[in-house]
Amino acid sequence: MPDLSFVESESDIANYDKYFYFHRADTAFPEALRDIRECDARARRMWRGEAADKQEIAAGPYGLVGAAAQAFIFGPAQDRLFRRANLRRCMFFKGYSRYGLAKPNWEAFNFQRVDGDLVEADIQAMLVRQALVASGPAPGAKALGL
Amino acid sequence: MIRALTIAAAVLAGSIALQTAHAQELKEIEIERISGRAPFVPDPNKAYLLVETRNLRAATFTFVKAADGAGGADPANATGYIEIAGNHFANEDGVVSVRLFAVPPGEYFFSSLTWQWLPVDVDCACMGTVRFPVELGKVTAIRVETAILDAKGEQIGVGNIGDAIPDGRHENDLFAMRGIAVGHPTSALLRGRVDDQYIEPARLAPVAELPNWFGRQINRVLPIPGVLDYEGDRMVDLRGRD
Repeated sequence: MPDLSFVESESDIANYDKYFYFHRADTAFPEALRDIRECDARARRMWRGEAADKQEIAAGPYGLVGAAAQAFIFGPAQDRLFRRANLRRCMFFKGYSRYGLAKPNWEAFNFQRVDGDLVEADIQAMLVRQALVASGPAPGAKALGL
Repeated sequence: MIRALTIAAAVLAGSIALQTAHAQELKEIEIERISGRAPFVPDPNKAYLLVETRNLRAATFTFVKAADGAGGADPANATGYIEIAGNHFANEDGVVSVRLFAVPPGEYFFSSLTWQWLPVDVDCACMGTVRFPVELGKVTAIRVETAILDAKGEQIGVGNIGDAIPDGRHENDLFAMRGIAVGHPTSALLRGRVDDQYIEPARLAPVAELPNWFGRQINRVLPIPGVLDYEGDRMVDLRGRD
């Protein structure tokens, strides 16, 4: 179980829009893991839906070359921004509340964007830990909402 | 111990497909802009789509045309799309705009709309949208715009310019706290431009899930009275209910 304890500072509060975790009451771990995996896949444009014949693309509206050009132009900051927004929306739709976390705690079981140093096994291990938190004890902190 | 075993079983058994999927081929369908100042009378052999919006900054709307015939209700069978961009058939400067295009008749899914400047900053109604028919000789009218949300997910503004966006909202909240409002046109812009007899308010039907064909940002259409609502991420069809 990740360590969620920290002494809250003004700086932490100012960064809760970036560093957060999700929790939903009365949710079992398998359900939380399914939800977190789905939202992660959607945020990475890899969600294929429940049925195998539903297909989505990962390249974006301008194709693979366009996606590469966009990544070059707008860069990692944009990737991080969109990932946060997509996760927040997807988990909110599923009824999870969002709670702020200090950056060091957050970095122990989350990632900002997929880059060359992060392999799929690492990502999946982080999602498991996120699901543990999402289905774990109720947070004492105030929920942040969407 | 039980929790640990449950966790282990879920991790082993609960994997989902995470491979990069193949693109479903969607081809852009050519459409015809309708402009001019005179009152508009539709050609009975053409179908028209009118979009009212308060997204005034570089707004583009994507509708995916359903496959004709059996299986058309399933978005996975769609093969083409239209993009509504530019063209102010009528507008109130800085407030609301109406775009009018001749499009192939058929059933359409609302797919996505642009937010502001970035080419990838486009919201897909992937987790909840609508479909509607566009018929010959009629001007099918729909309203589509960005809904600015608060932390509870309630709409507090509309559109993508100036006053719609709360002051001081951080970039991350700016991107996360927005939804998609869909309904029938509410402005008076069409008075004197298109006679009421030709206007068909879009007959909206709920669609729970839409493929993210274009790799856009995840979002959904807000609840529409009499059409759709949500229980968590499950869509509820309100049609036919009191």
